[in-house]
Amino acid sequence: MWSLLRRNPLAVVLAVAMHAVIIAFLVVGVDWLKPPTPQPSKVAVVQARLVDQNKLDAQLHKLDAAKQQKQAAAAVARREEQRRLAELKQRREQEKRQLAELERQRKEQARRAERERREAKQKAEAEQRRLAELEKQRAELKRKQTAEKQRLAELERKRRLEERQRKEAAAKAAARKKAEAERRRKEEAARKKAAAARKKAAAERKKAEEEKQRAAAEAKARAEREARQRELEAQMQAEQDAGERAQVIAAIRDKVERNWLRPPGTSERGLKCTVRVRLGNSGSVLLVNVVKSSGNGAFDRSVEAAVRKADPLPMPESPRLQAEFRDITFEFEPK
Amino acid sequence: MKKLLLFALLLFHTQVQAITIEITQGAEGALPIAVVPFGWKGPAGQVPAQHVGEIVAADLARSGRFKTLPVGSMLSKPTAADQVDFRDWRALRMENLVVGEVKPNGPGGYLVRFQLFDVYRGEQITGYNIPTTARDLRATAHHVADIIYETLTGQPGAFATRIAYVTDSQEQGKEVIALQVADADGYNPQTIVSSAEPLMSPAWSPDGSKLAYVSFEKGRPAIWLQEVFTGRREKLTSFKGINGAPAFSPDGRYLALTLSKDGNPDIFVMDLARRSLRPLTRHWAIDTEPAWSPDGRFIVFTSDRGGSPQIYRVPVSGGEPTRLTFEGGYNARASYAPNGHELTLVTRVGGNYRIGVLDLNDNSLRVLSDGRLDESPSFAPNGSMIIYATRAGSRGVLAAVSTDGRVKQRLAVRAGDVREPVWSPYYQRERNR
Repeated sequence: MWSLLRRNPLAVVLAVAMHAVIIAFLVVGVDWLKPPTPQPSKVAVVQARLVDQNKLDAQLHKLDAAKQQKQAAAAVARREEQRRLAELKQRREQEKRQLAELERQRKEQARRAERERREAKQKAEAEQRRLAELEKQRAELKRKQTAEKQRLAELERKRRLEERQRKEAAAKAAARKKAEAERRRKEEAARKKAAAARKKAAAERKKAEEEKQRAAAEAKARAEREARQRELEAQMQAEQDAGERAQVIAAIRDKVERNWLRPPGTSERGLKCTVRVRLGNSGSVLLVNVVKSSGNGAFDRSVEAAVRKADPLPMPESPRLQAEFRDITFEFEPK
Repeated sequence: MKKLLLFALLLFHTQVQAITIEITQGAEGALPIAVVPFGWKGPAGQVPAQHVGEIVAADLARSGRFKTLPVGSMLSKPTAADQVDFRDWRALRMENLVVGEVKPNGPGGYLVRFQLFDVYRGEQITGYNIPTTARDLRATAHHVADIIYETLTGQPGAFATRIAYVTDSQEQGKEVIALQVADADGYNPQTIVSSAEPLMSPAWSPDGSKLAYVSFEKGRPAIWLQEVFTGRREKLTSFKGINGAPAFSPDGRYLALTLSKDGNPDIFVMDLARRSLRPLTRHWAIDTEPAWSPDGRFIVFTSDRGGSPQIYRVPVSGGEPTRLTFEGGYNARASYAPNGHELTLVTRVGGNYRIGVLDLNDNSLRVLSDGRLDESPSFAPNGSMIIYATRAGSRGVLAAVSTDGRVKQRLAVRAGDVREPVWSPYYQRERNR
């Protein structure tokens, strides 16, 4: 190294010099930059005014108060509105209720009228049916009667025809016999009169015999026919009686029911009262006896009043049936 | 020949058979009765002020069991049995006839005679001669109506009883509230107590001699007990809070009432002799308006423990109450009928408050009145009628309805508001008769 240094002395000196300068700069420190010069500021200045905090508060309060007032006014207006609406609603509801009341009343009346109409119609129908039934029975009886009459007329005619035929036959036989006896007498005039007389006597006896038998047979046939006729008549009469009896019972029941006014509150209590009534010939009530009381005095009295109010009771026309209706037992039991 | 014998036997057989007819239909309705105006057999200028025949006819008609004949329709007006021609009354379809007359009987006295006839049988059923005075003439007329009612229906009449009620009227510009007692038809009112503060909830003692009621005369409600005939009164309770709805037990020894001294209204039972209290219900709901059963074993009351006012029943010896009403959203102010198996109460139907009758045997509720605001129902002591308060226009008035709902009648009262009627029990002398 030292040889290197001795050989190039200029280089060495230059190097050392450079290093010395650098170190000098490092130690001293030279600022190569220019120091900044202050610029004049171009900011605008705000023209501000100092505000009193209290005044600000007061202003805020006033605004608040105004707002609140407006709100209150709005609320009051709203409440007024609501109240008015409520009143209207109430009035409307009242009207609605009144209308509903009227409606209900009208419906009630209509229902009642309807029910009455229906009941009346049902009653009329039942009445008509009952009358039709009775008519039918009566027509039936009449038909049977005419059929019977026809049959009897037929039998009568046949009997008369037989009678006539038999009479004719008997007459023919008698005429024939007479001719025979005449001829024999003519042929044998000499035959003993005793024999002829005996023959005539015999013939006459036989005739009498036949006559008696015929009469007996006829009588028996007639008796049988009469018995059969009486049987038919009795049957017809019994049927007629039954029809009339049913008719009179229905009429009596109708009249008593129409006159029975029950005391209030007795329809559902299972009360039953039996009375026995004695009637006169024209249906007038002679005697009313309570046979079995219902236990309720007012009910029993109403039953007796019903029978008496129905005086005179309808009676059948034939005296034979009237006897049956002189003594009637009524059983009153509301159903 | 045999056949003839057979026919003869058959004919005999049909004659012996008796006829039986069954009657199952009839009309149901009030009994037609004609009450002829009673004749006056004294001097013409001294006709008594009370018309006995009119009072009797009005009583019978109000009960709903009778239909009286208007005087204008009568064909004749007999006053004694020998003047009666039954054909006149049969023509009008009247089943019963009452005739009578009033004669002077000493100074200030009268003799009332009446006879009751069965028109269709044509004979007299009963007849009475009753001596009386001018002051008691009206009461005698009610007694005659009782006799006729009991003879024809078999039930005792309730026409000679009284009612108590509260009136509210203006006298000289001030409001006056009074508790009054009048005859059962509203006549002859007597003021028992009056005050400027409210009076409420009158209740009769079982012998008809005392009234218990609530008075606000000291500013606070208190229950008072007053003797009707002497006017003596004493205060029974004045606890803090509500003292209300007094109700006497059937033997008169206990009083059920509502007190809220323990916080909320509950039912208490007070022993009147010892003045001791026993609580009967303990519940946070409102329990009030107690009423005793006729056998004294149960008390029914109104409670809203189920959410709405309904009727409950509790044994008097204590226990858990059972609910009785299940129809409707409001049932209150129940009281027993004398037969013990029906209650009358206020029930709300639609928006209206009406009087109803609850049958305890089958729980059916029958509505009897048709007003807008009917309240305070009370049974007559024979169970045939119910008296209640209703409104006519803006006034409170009293009305009576028969228990089967057939007849409704307004009662005659003075001006002002009338409310809270209660029917008195039979008086002791009536029961002994």
